[in-house]
Amino acid sequence: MVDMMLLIMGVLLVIQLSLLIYLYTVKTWAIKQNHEADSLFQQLFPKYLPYLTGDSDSEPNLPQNLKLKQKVLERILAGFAHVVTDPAGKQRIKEVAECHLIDSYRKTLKAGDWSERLNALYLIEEFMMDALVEDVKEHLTTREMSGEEYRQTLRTLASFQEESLLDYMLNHPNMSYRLTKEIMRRLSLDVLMDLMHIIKEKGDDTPDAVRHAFIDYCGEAGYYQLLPFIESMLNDSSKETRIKALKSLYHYHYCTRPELIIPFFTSVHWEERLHAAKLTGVMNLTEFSDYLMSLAGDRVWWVRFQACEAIKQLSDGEILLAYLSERHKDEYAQDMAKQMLTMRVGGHA
Amino acid sequence: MDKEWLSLLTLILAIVAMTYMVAVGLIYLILFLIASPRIKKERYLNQEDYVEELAFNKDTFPVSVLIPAYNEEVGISTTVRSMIGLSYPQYEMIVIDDGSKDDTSRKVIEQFKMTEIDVALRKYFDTKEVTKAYQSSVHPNLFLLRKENGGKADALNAGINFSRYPYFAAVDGDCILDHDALLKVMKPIIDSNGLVTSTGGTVRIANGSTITRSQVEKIALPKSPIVLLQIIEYFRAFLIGRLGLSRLNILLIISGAFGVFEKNRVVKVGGYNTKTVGEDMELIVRIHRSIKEEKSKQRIEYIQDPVCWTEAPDSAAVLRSQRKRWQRGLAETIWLHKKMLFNSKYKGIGLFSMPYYLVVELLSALFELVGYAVIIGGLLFSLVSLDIVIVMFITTVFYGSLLSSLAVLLEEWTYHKYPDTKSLIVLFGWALTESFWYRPLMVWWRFGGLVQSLTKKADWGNMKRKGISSE
Repeated sequence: MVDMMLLIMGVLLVIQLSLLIYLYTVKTWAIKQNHEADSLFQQLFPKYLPYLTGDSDSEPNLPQNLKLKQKVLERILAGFAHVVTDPAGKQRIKEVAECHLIDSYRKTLKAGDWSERLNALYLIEEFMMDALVEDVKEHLTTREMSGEEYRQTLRTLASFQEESLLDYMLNHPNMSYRLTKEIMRRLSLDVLMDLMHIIKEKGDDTPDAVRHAFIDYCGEAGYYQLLPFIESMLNDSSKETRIKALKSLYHYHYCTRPELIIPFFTSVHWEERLHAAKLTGVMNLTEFSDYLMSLAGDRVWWVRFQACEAIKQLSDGEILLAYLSERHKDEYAQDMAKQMLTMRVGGHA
Repeated sequence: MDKEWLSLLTLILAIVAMTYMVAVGLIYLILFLIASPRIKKERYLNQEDYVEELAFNKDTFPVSVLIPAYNEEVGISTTVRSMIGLSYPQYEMIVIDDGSKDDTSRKVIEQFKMTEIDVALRKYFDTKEVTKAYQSSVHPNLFLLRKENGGKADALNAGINFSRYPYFAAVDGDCILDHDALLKVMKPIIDSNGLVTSTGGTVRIANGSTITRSQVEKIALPKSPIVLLQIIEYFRAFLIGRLGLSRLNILLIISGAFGVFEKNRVVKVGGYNTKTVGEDMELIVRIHRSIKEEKSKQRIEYIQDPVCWTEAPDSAAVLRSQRKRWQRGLAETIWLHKKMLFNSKYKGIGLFSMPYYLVVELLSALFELVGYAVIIGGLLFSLVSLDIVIVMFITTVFYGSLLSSLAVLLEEWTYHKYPDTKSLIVLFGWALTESFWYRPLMVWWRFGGLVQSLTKKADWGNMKRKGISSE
């Protein structure tokens, strides 16, 4: 038994030493690679910048080693992409990326491991390499994917304004509301207009996630061309749709006919009362201050909070809150008004 | 005759202790095999791109960051400053001064220009009275609550009462968060559309690293052996233990230093328990319990990214009281939820996780103490053969050090790593010494905690802070 135990311990010791040697070797190599990439980046970035900005037509020489070249070029392009805003600069990034990195990314999408594929998808989108659109579409249809890789594949296609995504969203009713919205954020107004017509046409057959994400996103994007459609949704039979429409108008900070909000002040659903109060505050609708005063004594804490916050946003809000804190028949409303008087509206970092 | 019996008894104890150690070693090895593919898979992932979408997304769930503080005047400003720099679209920070006897509140009020506000508190839970509330005039999303002393759990409950958002993060008052920490721990919750109800991240020891203005600038090892061994211990506990258990959805601890919770779920289970020192673990057990009882699909996840930095005790006295407190917390939690032990109704939690924490985490002090007693007694009184003693000794040495080495390997695959090869050698070297001095100390203190759990009442525990960030 003792001999066996000693043998096992000997094996464990060998494993441990092997582990140490492996880690030491790998780390030494990684440090060397990073150091090399860092110094190359420091050298190349100042030379490459004029080429990317269009001030120079001659491209500086990149390293011969393919891995090193890719690493350095990705850093240069990503760094430039973070600061560039003009279309010409973005076009330059796309051209350079497609010239040097396209084969590597194509190979990675087909045969790379999970993190390599995901990194490639992020950069394909960041550098707007739409020459790879067919590869990304193939990636979506041929590979079993889930989680972040699946989401990033769809986001990348959306960035390329891939119209087939509309059908894809409509035919995947289980796609999450969040992901649907992430796709919409990347679509142009023209594609969104097409989607609006489809939603109108399909009516209740539109998947809820698509319809709600669309209503919500319109406000977020602030496209006034889509405002009439959003206002029409205030009369929808679905509570969730009406709430999304109210939220969307809140993001617009606008509503063509404020009287549309009135029925929501007395809704049986507290969420509708809350969003009506929010919208009133952000639009500074002083003519609705009586409704807000009444909601300040609502039975739901959140509605009271939102009503008082909305009152504070009105031009005479401070006076109204002072009155509420003294005279409101509801003690909770008085407390909430006192809180709002002393508290700054905030919470956004 | 007596000596024969004693020898036989010692031999039996030696075999029991050895079997126990080998079994525990194997469990850890299995957990390593479960945890390592996940870390290896994400090894080369571009971490910034991975969370970038959430950083600018209006649908990223807003979070209330709760920072309970008791006598934290040294580190509280640093902690709050690290929160102000968080990359997150919408969050609020609530510092809860739990009746500190030092200048914790004054530091926060002065540093962040806070003014008093009136509050209309909701009461999810009864807590000790909140006496005053403040809001920062430079950061409107920063609040301070002053309350009567009621312990950490009570402070967190008061913070939940005040908070406005559907998720809250509990962060210790002596911790520093990476700027993208909140994004990383919220990602599993957001990606799962709320199916993940709580998450925790890896806590790393900051001693030795350079932290300036609440940002980690250079990662390095400390000189103190007692801190070095804690670093190795943390790697093992987080990267092997917690990640392995999390992948099986039977994780029972989200570190009190940094965890994120769905508020509704916490309210539903009754908030933090003010009668235990292990309030973080006890809450997770109750959440698991309610998930299982509801037959809900929700789960608790742990992410391997080191996103939270804390100051480790660098003196034996402080470390002893910390470990005794942890052990008491563990004992109290297992005792409170003893119904779940070996109960198939709670599936993996009842059949594996609770027994694991009982036998491996709680009672290991007892088994290992027996092991050390056999080695020492065997040598002093020749009760067992020298062979047995040698085997036990070698088992003890390799039992800890191999697992530590594997943990160092996993650390090398994570995001923040030591920037030189010397650190690896140092960590490996110290891992080999663990069984000679550090582990026996831990065993003895944890045994003390086990004994104390039968007698003592809950408190915050004390640690004299030096602060981990320079200005």
